[in-house]
Parts: sequence; structure tokens; C-alpha cells
Amino acid sequence: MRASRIWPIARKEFIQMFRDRRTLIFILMTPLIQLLVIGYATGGQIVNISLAVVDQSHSPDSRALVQAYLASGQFVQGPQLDSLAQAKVAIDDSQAKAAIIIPPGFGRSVGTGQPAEVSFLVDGTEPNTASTIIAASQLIGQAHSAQVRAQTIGARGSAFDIRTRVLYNPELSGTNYQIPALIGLILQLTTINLTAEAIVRERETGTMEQLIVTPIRPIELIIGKLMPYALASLTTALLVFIAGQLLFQVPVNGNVLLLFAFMLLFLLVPLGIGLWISAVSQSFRQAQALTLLFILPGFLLSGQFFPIESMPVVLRYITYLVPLRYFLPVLRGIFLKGIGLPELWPQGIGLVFWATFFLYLASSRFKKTLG
Amino acid sequence: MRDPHPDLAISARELTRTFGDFTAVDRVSFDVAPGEIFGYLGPNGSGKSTTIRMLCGLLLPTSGNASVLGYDIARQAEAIKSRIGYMSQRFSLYNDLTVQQNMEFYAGIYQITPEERRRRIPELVAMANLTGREHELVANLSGGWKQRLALGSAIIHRPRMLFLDEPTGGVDPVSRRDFWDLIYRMAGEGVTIFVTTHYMDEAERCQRIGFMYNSKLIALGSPDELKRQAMRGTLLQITLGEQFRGAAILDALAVLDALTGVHEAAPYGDLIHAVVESAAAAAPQIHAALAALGIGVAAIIPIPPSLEDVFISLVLERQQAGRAEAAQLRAQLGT
Repeated sequence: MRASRIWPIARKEFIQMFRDRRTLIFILMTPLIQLLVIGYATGGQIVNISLAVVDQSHSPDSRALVQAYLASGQFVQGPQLDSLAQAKVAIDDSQAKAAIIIPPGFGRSVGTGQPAEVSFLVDGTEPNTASTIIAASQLIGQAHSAQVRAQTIGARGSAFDIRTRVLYNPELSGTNYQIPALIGLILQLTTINLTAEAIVRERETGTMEQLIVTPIRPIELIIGKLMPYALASLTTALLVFIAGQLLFQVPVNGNVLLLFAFMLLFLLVPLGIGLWISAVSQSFRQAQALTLLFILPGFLLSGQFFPIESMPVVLRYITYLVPLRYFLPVLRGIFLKGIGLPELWPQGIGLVFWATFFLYLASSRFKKTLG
Repeated sequence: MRDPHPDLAISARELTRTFGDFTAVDRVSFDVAPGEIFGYLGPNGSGKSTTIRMLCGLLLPTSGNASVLGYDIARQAEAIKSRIGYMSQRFSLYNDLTVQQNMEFYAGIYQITPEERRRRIPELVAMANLTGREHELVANLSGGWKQRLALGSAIIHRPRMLFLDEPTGGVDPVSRRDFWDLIYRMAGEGVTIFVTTHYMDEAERCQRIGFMYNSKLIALGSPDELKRQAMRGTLLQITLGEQFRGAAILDALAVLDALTGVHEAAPYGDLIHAVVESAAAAAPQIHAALAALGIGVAAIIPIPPSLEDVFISLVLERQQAGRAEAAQLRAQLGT
């Protein structure tokens, strides 16, 4: 592999990219328009919220309270933990979306009619989900509280208070939630599109035929062609990032460098997909159809608009086939939760797997068509 | 690697390529001498492109072997690729790049040094008559210019061997002549030219010709050799009386087809060309047969065959094909 043969290819792609100004503007502007429009997505019925339980009271009353939440159907039993700190970790790791913390004296207070306090933690990164959890925590808790008070001391009123606290993104801002995810969506969309098109165009005009009789190796051709488009996608992602800061003040609570490292890693996935599409498509039209095939499920199953936890079980397993679903928790995690590698490495492994898979598939297929 | 100095620019032996059940190239053998202009002819689908693809190192032969510039096509494809030029009728240029940018691009791919580039690019731009238009987009150039620019891009690295795959498709006659002048000039400088075409006038310009039909090489030699040796029988040109031209030609053809001494008869403008076993025996026969139908004959003269006549004759001889197939072949050959 010779860098001196990669450079002329990359240079040519750059010239072609800037020659076609209309497309270039389109590439850069579309995400910004999306950025302005997005955030108005509607939420549906949210179920299967994983509830971490910190029961320090170990009393029949505390167990009855937890049971009341689980019986509602909206919550499912999450990890049983000992402390508030552990509950926060569980939410960081996405093992739980919410946690209920019942203090040690809960059973006694309820029995004697003294007011008791129960804490409820909610992961605020997904505003739609979070607002549903908040409402549910209050409704179910208060209903149970009134019932308990009536049974134990025969009086009206509430036996305890539910104090709900939102972790991360406390203002439950839709833009805070959507903009980080938009970066992933844009990286995927523009990269697949541009990559697939750049190589199919070469085949349609017959220049590919000329290239393969030159001494250039397939790997040099691939790298030379991909570089400019990877850069273009990164630029758009950066634009969205900056616009998100300037227009919507989306906070970045985590490490920006880690964020960019993950962006680069994720970028390999759509590059591989785009390359594979270009290797199997004979025409531009075919490439576009295939691109849509990859982008649409990515859009719907990634967790961008519809929380994965609320999907039917079968669909939930299918989301593991969508590379974007690994990247969105990374983006939201770093932006909103400020978490890092200790929590995000499983997503990293998922991305490495899909990047390797698609790049391998594409380059072996690509070599065959060239050879 | 030191370049070998082979006696032959191309040497193909029993070269064969199959795709599944289909044999695209069937045991083809030929040699091309250095500096020669070798024409590779045949109708579409006869195996020309598959042969070129194998010789350029893009496709491995199923059996047999070949060397180009002394390098084995199966084992030394990389060495071949850096020493050959290739140009197809699609003029593989980037329409959205300028003349200069196209040249720079191929110069980069072939790893031409900057000094050589500064010398070579203006030289090739001048060859394409594009001096002063270096910064124009290729999209704005017309066919002839694009063709010469494509040739320029294909020879930027001074290849010793040039493959031209139907290089003059869709180009006007004047540009075609200019293009061939360039080809002759390059051959004069020692570059070996391997050109496929289905234009018979272009075939006549080649020093040697190989003719492909149904995946087989069915004739090989100089145009003159082929006309003298490969033709079965003699070609007669029949001129009907003036009042019989037009519809009568079809009646005349039907009569001629039925004659045993006539292998093939075909209309040729107002005239009829007939391939006969022997001119002396056939001429009176034809006179008599047409007279019996009331068609007057102005003249019957033996003429030297064109390459096209030779190839059709060859095909019929091999295939024992019907006349319908011969007509189809003429149509494919573009006359």
C-alpha cells in the first residue's frame, strides 16, 4: 500500500465534492435543518421500565410498596441494591431507568401513622420516558399511600410522600435529548450516502474500468475514496455539535475527546455499509434503494425516537443488529450523564464488531468486483 | 525488477476463459511483435473484451497462458499494469474535472515525478489539441477532443504497450482519422498497439489482424494475406441493367441463391456481390438464370474482396451457416 497513490484519489474526490456545490450545501444544510425541526417527537405508552430497588426497611410495608409499582405493569423488577450510590451506578450503566429508595424506618413510621418519605430516582436523558416515569411514580405511590393509611390507622390522607428526583437532564429538555442522537443519525446518513454514491458513480461513468487497469490496489482506492467523505461527515457532525451548543445550549457533561474517539469509531460502520452497497449495486438507483434499507430501520430501531425498553421483546433483540443503537447511548451518555469508558465499553465492543463486520464484508466483495 | 526484453510484445498460447458453462475465449493463440499495430476483430460477444481483460491482468485465464511485454499475465499482473496503457470507447475521463486535473490525477496514480509531469502533461495536452483549454471542464469537450484526451491520460506513463478497446466508437470520421494518425505515430516510436474494432476501414489500417468468432480465433494475418488466402472462391460484382434496379434485385437474389455454384449473394447498394466457386463457370450460369427471369445483366466482373467479404466467407465456411446469419453478421459489423 502506498500513500502516494492514495493521495491523488483523495484529492480528486475533494475536487469533485467541491465542484458539485449544490450537493455539498445540501449535505451541510440538511442536518442543520433537521436540528431545528427535531425535538418535537411524540412519545407513546412507556412500559417495561426497569426499576432498581433499594429497600433499607425490609418490612412487609416496603415490600408491598414495591409490589404496587411492579403490579402496575409499567415497571419491571430491576436490581436489588443496598444504597443510593449503587442505585445511581445502576442508572449510569443503564441497568435501570429508575430507582426507588425506601429508608430504614419506613415500616415503623407507616405503622404509627408518622409521615414517611420515599425517594424515587429517574433517568432524565430520555425526556419522553422520564416524564412518564415521573407521573407513574407519583400516581402509583400516592394511591398506595392513601390505601395504606386507610388500612393501618383508618384515617384519610397519605401514609408517606414520594419525592421524585430526576437525574441528568433535570429540565427534561427534548433538544438536550435529541441533539446528541442527531449527531449519530447524521454521521450514518451522510456517510452511507456519500460513500455508496462515490463508487457507484465511478462505475456508471466507466472510469472504474480505467482505474482497475492502473497499478492502483483496491485497498488504496478504497482508502483514497473514503477519506474525503469521512471528513465531510465529521464536519457536518461537528457543525451540528457546535449549533447544538450555540442555539440550544446542550450541555456536554462528559469528556469531549472520548466523544470524538467514539465518533471516529462509529464512522467506520457507515463507511463499511456504504462501501458494501457500492460493491453490490450496479446503478445509482440500486444504491439509493439499498441505502434506504439500512437507514430506515436504523432510524426506527436505534432508540432515537422510540425507547428500546418499550419495544416488544422480538424487536428489542433485533435492535442489536442496528449499529446506531450502540452509538446513541454513547452520545447521550457522554453529553447528558457525563459518563465515560467504564460504563460505555460494551457499546464500544458492539461498534468494533459491526465496523469490522461491514468493512470486511465490503472489502472482500469489493476486491472481487475489481478483480 | 529489470524489464525483460522479449522478442514478442504479446504471446498467447491456447488462452481459454470460461464463465460457468459458457466459454468466452476458446484456445486462442497468437503473437504480436513489438511496435506492431494488431487489430482484434469480431462481432459483439465474440470474446474480444474477455481477451483484453486477460491480457491486462484483470482476469485469470481458465487454461492456457499468455505473456505481455515478457510478463506472465497470471503471475505478474502488477508488472503488466504499470507498463501498459488502456483506453476504452467510454473515454474514462472525469467530466467534473478540468483537462489539467484529469491529467494530474492519472499522473498521480502512475506515480509520475513532478518534473516529468511538468514536461509530459503540456506535451499530451498539445497532442490532444487542447493547449489553452487546460482549465476547461471535460464535460464541455466534444467527442473527438475527449477521445484524444483519454488517449493522453492512458499514455501519460509512456507505456510500451497500448490496449485500445473500440477506441473510436461515437466519434466523427475526421476525428477518427486524426486519432489513427496519433496511433501510427506512437507505433513509429516503438509502442505496440492492440486494438479491437468492428469498423472494417480501421481493420484495414492494422498491420495484422486476428478475427474472433464464437469465442474462437478463426483467422490471423495481414489484411492482404487474408484477402488472398482466406477467401473461399471468387467475389463477383453483378451490375443489373438500368431498368432492373430496385425491386428486381430481390428477385435476382432469390435466383442466385438457388444456383449451386454460388455460395452467397448479397445486395451492395444497386449492385449484387456474389461469392462463387469459380468465376469462369459461374458468370455464364448467372447470365442465363437471370435472363430466364427476364432480368438483363449489364456486367459481371470479378473484384478483390474487402475484409468484410473475407470474414463473412470465413464464418460461413466454418459454421455452414445460413444466409440469414450472414446478413445478421453484416449488420453487426456495421455496414
